[in-house]
This record gives sequence, C-alpha cells and structure tokens, in this order.
Amino acid sequence: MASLWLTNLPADVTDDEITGWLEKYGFPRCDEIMRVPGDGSRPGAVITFADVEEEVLRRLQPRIDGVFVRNKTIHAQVAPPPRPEPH
Amino acid sequence: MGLFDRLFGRQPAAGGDPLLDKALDRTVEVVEPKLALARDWRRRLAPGVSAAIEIARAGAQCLQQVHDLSAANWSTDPLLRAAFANSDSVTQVLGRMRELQRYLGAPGAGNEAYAVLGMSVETRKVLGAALVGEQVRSEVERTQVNFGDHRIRIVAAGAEQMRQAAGVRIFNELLLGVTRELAKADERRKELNIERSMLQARLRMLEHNERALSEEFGGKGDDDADPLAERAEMQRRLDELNAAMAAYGGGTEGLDRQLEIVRDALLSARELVRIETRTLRVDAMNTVLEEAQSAGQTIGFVHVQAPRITRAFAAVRVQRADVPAGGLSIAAVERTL
Repeated sequence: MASLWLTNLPADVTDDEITGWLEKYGFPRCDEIMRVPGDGSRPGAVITFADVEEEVLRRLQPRIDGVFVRNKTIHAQVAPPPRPEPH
Repeated sequence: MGLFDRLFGRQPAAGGDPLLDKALDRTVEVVEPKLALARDWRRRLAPGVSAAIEIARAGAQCLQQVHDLSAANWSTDPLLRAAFANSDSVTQVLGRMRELQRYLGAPGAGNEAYAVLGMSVETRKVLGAALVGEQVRSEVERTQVNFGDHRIRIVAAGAEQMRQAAGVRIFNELLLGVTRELAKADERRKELNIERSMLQARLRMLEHNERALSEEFGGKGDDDADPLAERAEMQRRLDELNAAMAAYGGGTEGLDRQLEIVRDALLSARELVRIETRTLRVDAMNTVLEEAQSAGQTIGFVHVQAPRITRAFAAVRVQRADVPAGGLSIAAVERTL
C-alpha cells in the first residue's frame, strides 16, 4: 500500500476530477481519497493505492507534481507509510 | 464508448491497426511517456502490447455467467452460497461497495447494474468425516475452499460494457506490472550507481596512497598488502558493475533498454498470468467433492493467478433495491456496542 499527498488543490475539486487527473497521467485506480482542507488556503488530499508499492508511486509522482490546473499548481509527494500503532 | 474500450469486446477488431495504435499510445502514456522518443518504438513494442490485449480480451470473455447478487438469491445460487456465509453478509457487502453506490447514485443510472465481484480464494486441508466404502470414517483429509475479501471495482450498465471494462482493467493491471518492473530496474540502477561511485573513490584513494608511499619510502610499503592485486580486483569489480549498469540501460541506451524491459514484461505475462474458468463441486460446508459424486453442487468462477494475486471473480447483476444506503449503519453500531 502506498499513498500520494496532493496539496494546493482547487477548493471545489471533486473526487472524480482528482481520479480523472491521476488516470490521465498514468496512475492506477486509487482506493481512497481523504480530504485534508487545512485552513482552506492550500487544500490537500491523501490518495491511497491499496495494491501499489511505494517505488511504483515514486516513479509516477513527478508526472503530477507541478501540474497547473484551474489556476493552481498542484504539488505531489509520496507519503511515508503509516506508522504502526503503539502498543 | 471509445476505441480503446472496444479493444476488449467479443471479437478482435478487423484490421486492428488503429486499435493497436491506441493501445500502444496508452502503454507509453502509463508506463513511461519518454518511450515515445525511442526509435521505431511502435514496431518494437507491438508484440508485447498485442500479447497483453489478447490476455485482457480472453480474460474479459471468461465472465459469461451472470449471477444475481442479492440476499434473496443467496440460498438458490450455489456460488453465492459458497462465497458468502449467509444472506445478511450479501447485503453487508453490497452496502460497503462504494463504486457500486457511486454508480447507482449518479444521475441517469438505471435500476440495475452489472459488476465484477472479486474475492480472495484459498483452499486448505481439513480433517473430517467421510464415507469410505460402506464405513463412515473420521479424520479423513478433505479440501475446503474459502472465499473472502469481497470487492466490487468494475460496475457498468450492461453485461457487454462490464466485460469491456474488465478487459480495460486487466490491460491496465498488466501495465502496472510493467511499471513495477521499471521501478525495480530504477532501484537496481541506483544501487549499482552508488556501489560504483564508492568503488571509484576507493580506487582513487588506493592510487593516491601508492604514490604517497612510493615518494616517502621509495616504493617499499607494507609487505603483506599487494596493491597491484587489490587494484586489479577493484578494476574487475568496476567492470562488472559497468556491465550490470549497461544491462539496466544507462546513459544514452536507457530508452532502448527500457523499451525492451516493457516488451519482455508484457510478453512474459502470457506465461505468468493465468485467467481461466474453474468449476468445483462443493457441499454446504464448502468441502470440495469429486466431480462424479452426486452430493453437493457445482460452482463456477473465474480464477486469476498472477505473480502478486490469486483471486476469484464472478459477473454479477445487482438491483438498486438490494443495495442498502451507504454511510454509518446505526443499527449495526448498536449491535456491536
């Protein structure tokens, strides 16, 4: 499992639009989109791919990083894997 | 419906060239857009992409038998009985499927949807009672099949659209496998590059030390060490690393090598990916029976075996009325508490 961290998204962007951009740039179908609105100035989203490894996502990430959409430059980072729950 | 979608229809396209071109374009778009800069890339990639199209088309056409997926049908459909513990679990699974919910919630969606139900499938050996000759014996080894992890990712308005969408999905999964191969090659190339840099630095240090020793002691250094042999060994290792890096496509040959990796990975899918219809005769406890036995019922599903997955798939038809509304089920939470 690997996640992609997108920031500076247009405030009114829909999940379908995000999925459409990702597929256009060759990403596989994502499994979950979790919105991170923050203070509203640079809304973000964590996109989870259940069956994709981090190395694959790192190879695809430059394709979407810096893409200009609806007057916004989207930034993309491969998110580190989630930390194990403390016992 | 786009040209690309029609690739995975019932019949291979007559002539085929424009459709193959479309698949080739999609391949470089997904796998590595820079490959389109390589010389004669279409002709060189075509065998691999054609093989992938055939796998996708054959796989999609395996989804012929459509099961009505509903709690009411659980007791009458042998596959549903084997795949779900009880009729309630059918409803629970339908309530969890977001793709299905999204499809049925879209404006203009009909009252039924066709979908591909994916499930994990595993067989295990268990000890149970069995009739051997005229005697009932306990602790007889039997095989049990279990289904779980139900998922619906492909939803369409009709059976043929569903099969086309399944074909596109299989093709995309094959391309994802190729991207994995390229990512692996990238990682290996990076490791080799680091190792080579370290070796080059050590070689430089060795040369520097030799010079310093010969200047200070007139060529008499440590008698135990043989600097010439050490240097020769390092040079040999360096040559090996250079050869390994060339195999992963370094420098100007990078694109050509990547093109070969993509083509070979797609061609190898013919041996590595197996999509076939499988039938089993099972009893009510999912114990696998001999085909000749009159007890139990026959279930059929599409079995997919690939390097990273082993799953069962079935084409299903879902009625809107059978899908519970998504979101939090207060009743279920109350029961849990």
